[in-house]
This record gives sequence, C-alpha cells and structure tokens, in this order.
Amino acid sequence: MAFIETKKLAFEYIRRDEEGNVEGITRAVDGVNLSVEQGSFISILGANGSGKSTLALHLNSLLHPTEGTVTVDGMDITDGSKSWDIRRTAGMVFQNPDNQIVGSIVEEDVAFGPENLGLTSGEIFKRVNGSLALTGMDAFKHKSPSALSGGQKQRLSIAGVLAMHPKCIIFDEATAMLDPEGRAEILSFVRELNRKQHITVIWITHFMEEAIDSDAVFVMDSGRIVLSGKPNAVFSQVEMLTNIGLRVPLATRLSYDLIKEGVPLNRGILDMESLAGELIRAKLNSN
Amino acid sequence: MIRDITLGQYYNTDSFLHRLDPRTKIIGTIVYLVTLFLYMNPYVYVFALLFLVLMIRKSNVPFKFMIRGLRGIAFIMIMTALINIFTVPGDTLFMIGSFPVAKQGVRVAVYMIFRLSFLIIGSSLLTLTTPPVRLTDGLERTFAFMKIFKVPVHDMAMMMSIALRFIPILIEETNIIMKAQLSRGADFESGSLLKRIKSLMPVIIPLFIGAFKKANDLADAMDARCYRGGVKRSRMNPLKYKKGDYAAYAMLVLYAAAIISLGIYAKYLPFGNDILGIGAK
Amino acid sequence: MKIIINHVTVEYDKNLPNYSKALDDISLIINEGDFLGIAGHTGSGKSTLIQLMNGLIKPSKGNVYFEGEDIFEKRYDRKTLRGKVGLLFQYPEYQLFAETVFEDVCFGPLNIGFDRKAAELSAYDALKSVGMPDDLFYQSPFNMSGGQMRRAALAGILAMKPEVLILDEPTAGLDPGAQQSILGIIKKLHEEKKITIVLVSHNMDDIAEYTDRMIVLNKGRKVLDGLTKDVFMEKDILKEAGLSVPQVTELCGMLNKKGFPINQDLIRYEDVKRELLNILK
Repeated sequence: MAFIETKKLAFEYIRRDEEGNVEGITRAVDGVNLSVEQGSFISILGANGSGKSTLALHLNSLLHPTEGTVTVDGMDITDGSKSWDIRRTAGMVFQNPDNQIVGSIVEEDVAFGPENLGLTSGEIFKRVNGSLALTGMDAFKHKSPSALSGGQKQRLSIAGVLAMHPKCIIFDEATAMLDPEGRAEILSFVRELNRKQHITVIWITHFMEEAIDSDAVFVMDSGRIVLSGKPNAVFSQVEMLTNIGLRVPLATRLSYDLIKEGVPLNRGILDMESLAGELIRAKLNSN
Repeated sequence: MIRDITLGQYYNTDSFLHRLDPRTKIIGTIVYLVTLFLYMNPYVYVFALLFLVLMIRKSNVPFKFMIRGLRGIAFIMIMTALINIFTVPGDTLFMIGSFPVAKQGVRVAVYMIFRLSFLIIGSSLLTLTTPPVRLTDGLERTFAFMKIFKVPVHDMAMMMSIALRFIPILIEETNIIMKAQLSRGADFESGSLLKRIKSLMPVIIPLFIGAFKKANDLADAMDARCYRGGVKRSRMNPLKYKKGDYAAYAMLVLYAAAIISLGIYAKYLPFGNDILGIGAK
Repeated sequence: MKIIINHVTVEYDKNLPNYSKALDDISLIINEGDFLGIAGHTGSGKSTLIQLMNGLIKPSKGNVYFEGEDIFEKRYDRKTLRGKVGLLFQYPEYQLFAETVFEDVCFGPLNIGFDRKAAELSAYDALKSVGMPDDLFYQSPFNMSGGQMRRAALAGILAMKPEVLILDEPTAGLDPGAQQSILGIIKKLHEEKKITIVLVSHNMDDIAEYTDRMIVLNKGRKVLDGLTKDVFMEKDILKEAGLSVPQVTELCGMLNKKGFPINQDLIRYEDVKRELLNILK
C-alpha cells in the first residue's frame, strides 16, 4: 500500500436554508484516486474552487469522506482512535500565515504541537530547538510572530509542524499570500526538506511554476482529477490547462506558441533556461 | 485612537516582572485592583501610585507606552467623570446651566479618574510583562481549584490567550478597513451620535466576517496540530516558583498591609477624612 | 498634470522606538492618461505612496496636489477627492459589507454626494464594466467566488466615477484565470474609459505587459522613473531594490550571453515571440 492512498474519495457539502432544509449539494471532491509514495514530492494543481483544499483536509483527518476511503501510513482516517496519530504523521501548513500561529512568541508557537502530544518538557525543548535550527528561525526564537515577514511566518508554521516529527507535510496554498521573494524562499526550503529529511510533501497550489520539480502532478477541476503524471507531460496540455483557469509557466507557453508557428522545438519545456538551450539548438540546426 | 490601546499587548524585554511566575503576577494584580476599591482617601491613592510607579520601573516597559494606553480609554474616563460630577448629590459647588455640581461629585470624579487610570495601567502591566501563553498557564493554574465546580478553566484560559494574540491583528485590520471605507467616501467623524454609530457598520460587518474566518482557520490549524483541549497536554516550560516570586509575595503582603492601615488610620491625618462613604455623602 | 507629489516625506511613530521613514523625499508627477506601474520590495513604501495620493496619510514634509490644488489644505474637500482618485486596497473583498452586491457598489457614490438615482445608474454601469453577471447583482457578496468578490469591490470604486484609479496588488490571492480577467478589465478601463491607472504589483511580467511608465521604490526612495521598457534595462538598480526583470527579458539576456542574436530591450511576451519567429523562420 502506498503511503497516502485515496480510493473513490467523494465529499459533499450540503447547503441548508434557514429552516434546515437541504437547499443543494455541492460535490466538492468527486471520485478521486490518489496514491503518494513515501518520500516523494507531489503537487496538486487547480483553480480556486476545484476541490484541492477539500481534498487536503481529508489527508489530515480534518474532514471525513462522504464516499470512498483515505488511508495515511496504513491508518484509516475515519478511525477516530487514530486521529492524533494521523495528524502527527501528516502535518499541515495553511494559506494565511496569521491564522495558523497560536503562540505569541515564536518558540511557544513551535512548542504548541509537541505540548499537545503530551511529551516531556525536555523532549519538547529538544524538538523546538531542532525545528527552529532546521528552519533557520533560531534568531527569532524570542520574538513575536507579528515582527516576522510573511515568508518567515510560513517558516514558523513549518517549524511548528516539524516539531511533531511528521513523515509528511501537506502545504495548502502555503505561498498564495506571499510576495515573489517569500514564495521562492519557502518553496526552495520545502524542496530541501523533502530531499534532505525525506519528508513526503504534498504541495497544493494554483501556480504551475511551483510544480515544475515535482515527482508527480495531479490537476483538479470541479472535484475530479483531470490530468496526472510527470510535470513535463502534464504541462504540455497547454490548452486544457488554460481552459480550467490555470496558466502554464511562461517558458512552456512560449515554446508551445513557437511550436505552433512551426519552430522545431522539443515539447515539455518547463523553464526559461531549458527554453534558451532549445532555441540555441534550433538556431544551429536551421543554419 | 484604536492604535493606542496597550491593554492586552505583550512588551518583549527582560525585567524583574518579566521573570516572575505568571501566578505571582495574577495574584498581585488581583490584590492591587482590590486595594483600589477598598478606600477613597488621598494617602491610599498616593501609596498605590508609588507602588505602581515602582512596578513600572521594575518592568522595563517605557513609561510613554503606559500613558499611550490611557489615551485609548480617555473617552470612557471622561464619561465616568462627567456622570459622577452631575449625579452625585451634596453641597453645591457651582452651577453649569441649571445643573448643580456638588463638591462630593467633583471629588468622586477625581478619584474615579485616578482609580480607572491605576486599574488600566495595573492590569496592562500584567499583560505587558507576561507572554499570553504564560498568562494562560498562570490563569489555568491559579484558578484550577474551580474545576471542582465544573468550570472549564483550561478552555477559558485558552480562549483568552487566543483573544490576546489576535487583538493586535484585529486592530491592524480595523485600521485597514476604516481606511478602505474612507477611500469610498465614508465619514466616521461628522453627524449625530446615531449617524456615527451607523457609519461604523461598513467597518464592523467586514471585521466580524473576517474574525469568523480567522476563527475557522485557526480551529483547523489547532486541530491539525493535535490540539484536544487540556487532555494529555504537557508544557515546555512548566510553571515553577523561584526566589523572586517569594520576595514578590512578601512585598505584596507588605503593600496590602500598608494600604489597609492607611485606609483605616488616614482619618487621623490631615486631609485624610475622606474614606469611601463619607466623601460621597 | 493630474497628481503632483512634491518632495514628500512620510514618517511613522515619530519620537517612538519603532520610528520609521516610510517615504523619503519623493517627487512624482502623474499625467492624465498614464498607465503607471509602481514596483518595490515589501516595505519599500508603495502602500504609503498610494494612500498619500488618496489623502489617507498626511505627509510630514512636502505637498500633494490634485489638479492644481493642495489636497491637505484645511478647506480642501477630501471626500470628493476620494471619488476622483479611486483607491482599491489589497484584498478588497474583505471590505464588502452590504446585503447585496448592488447595494455595496452604491455605497461609494452615495457617500460622495450622488443622489439615489445617479448612484444606482452609476452602480449598474460599474458592475457591467467589470463583467459581473446580471443574476449576481442582487446576491449577497459573501456567497460568491474570490474572483467575483474582487470584481464587486472594483465596481464599488468605479461607481464613484474616478478619473484616476489606483490598484494595490489587484490580482493577489486569485487564481491565474481570475488574475487575467481582472487585468483585462483594468486595461479596458484605461483604453475605453480613458481612466488614468496606477498599478502596484509584485509581478514584473504584469508590469511589463500592461504599463507604459513605471517607478521603482527602494527603502522609501524613488530610485527609477521612466518608460517601462527603459526602467527594465536598469538591471543593477532593480537588483539592488530586490526586483527582477520580466521573464522574457531574462530569456533574451540568457540567449544573448550564449551568442544568440536577439534584442536585449524586449519586455513584452508578444514582442519576444515575434522577434524569435523572425530569427528562427
């Protein structure tokens, strides 16, 4: 069994009017099969309202499926006795940095998770210091979170999760509210976590550029997975991705447009550097 | 004005007060607040002021910071003073229009202003020198005995610490929303009181909606980090009394004893004949 | 000259420990019909600068003129100014408050003195120009998607019939589809309604694609001001300000370095594509 597995997962939001009568049902997630290997970095792409966040909340046992099953490290997420084990195994970082920091001092916020696990005070100290060192936040240990930049706040959120020693972290649009610099900083740090600490990463985003280096990409639209596979294969479906409200990286779009005009380039170009290489090759061939 | 509220903020520095156990500070604050309400004579108030000044100096929080906190509640203080001036009966001092102003009323009003200022500064000292999570711990432990009466002490303490953490964020948000509505031509400063209250709706509604969203997000984030109320929860820094705390308790007892003695015997001192009750009559 | 900012300095928290200079001796002229981009790292003073133009922040030094009048003069009617210089805040959907989208959009024009009829007509017009579907006009703004809420908020500013429209990160937090449509709406407002646009953005590709002129702020100072295509050639100053060049410009640079003969001063997607096709076909 894969580390995280969903089978025919479906989730329905039921809207009720003031008297409690059912007004309508929205199928936010609809028949999703997902399988994530331990240690991998996968991305889930989709426009707003595509169901990607609803899917994410299941992986942490914050939502329970209407239909289908979800297992995390062999544990069924609907098994109430396993909730805490699931949550410490698969941690979660959310979009808004301010709405997920509990403590008023950096160090205390990091301690919040381990304290909930009922660890001894010595062990909590060790974990807090370890997490702060790993995320490069030691210098801010005694600072108030409000003194941090957006990128640093997200680093703090990551430190808080790391202190629970998870095997996997789910990032639910964790960079959506950051400036480009903060976004790049967080993404490269998470990649490093994945490579060096072997933490499984599920990266949920609507910025396709952020998914370039993933092991696998899943694209969602209206609750379903409509595309999946290696980034270069998925990204070559430029028109389909545009139709569902996503935008391929500029390099991909440019190479796609050039190919359409008859320039002989390889498909599946994801970044400007490889595009430059391809263009030079094309130029040499044409001479 | 809203920027000026210092109550509930934490001032990050190191000091004698910062190092004290939160329980010591909570009990100290309660004792101090109680002493403010016991007597109404100049000696008690001067002594309470001296004690407060000493504590401020022991907190390493700039004096300016405290005064700024008072600006935020100036309106409430003035209202309280005015109500007292106009409603307390006694020997007429002078008339404002057809309203008589009594000597006793002025006296109570003056005391009220001092009492409120001491009260606000005294309680802000607690929050300024105690990180909210420590404060929560302290409250939880100090009032733990109430669990026997089925009072959800842990949950209340947690709610309070979260409220404290979000106060500065909500203040910032209020500022932004006010500015945004100003730029849509809103006017918060002119018109009758009713009109002004009405004009605040475009600020209050988005603020509440935002607060609910925050609450939802935060609840998810806390769940995701395995929060399950006070059950099985341990602490990185368990509370432990140190030498300073015993010294502080000793000081507190001396202070309370001094206040009570001054309260009882002040009437034998010049201008001291003014214990609550007598002054107001 | 629509707006003149003349040697303006803005200081926050004067005399306090967290004193900062948000803007430092800035001068800037905005002409009628400009599509001006403002770029700068977080904390460079962008927000302060645009709030200054809208009369929300007072300069410590210097003056701001709108159509030849000093907007901080005592008698100047800043409410009317806010109608003429519309400012859309970042994440403006958090300022929606009324029961229906339509009512919310009427808020601005009613505030600045439109009569009911004129306000409603203007609201219709504004909602149409942001492409709001008719069936959403009378819906609650809180049940809509993020992109639609953003449009409603933009309509709320447009309904005041601004001559200058200032947008602070209008695409932040939206998905790419919604981002494109918001930028498309802004472009149309500039071209068809001849509204002067000031666009604050972190995205250099967007600034290159849409603006004619741009300024760059760094630590409260204006370090670059000129035609967008010229400003993006100042790579060193941009780098120092923590900014990059548009991705396509970066591509041209990489190609050139490797001996591929392409113009270095291209900043827009279509121009680079055309140039590449010319060379390769």
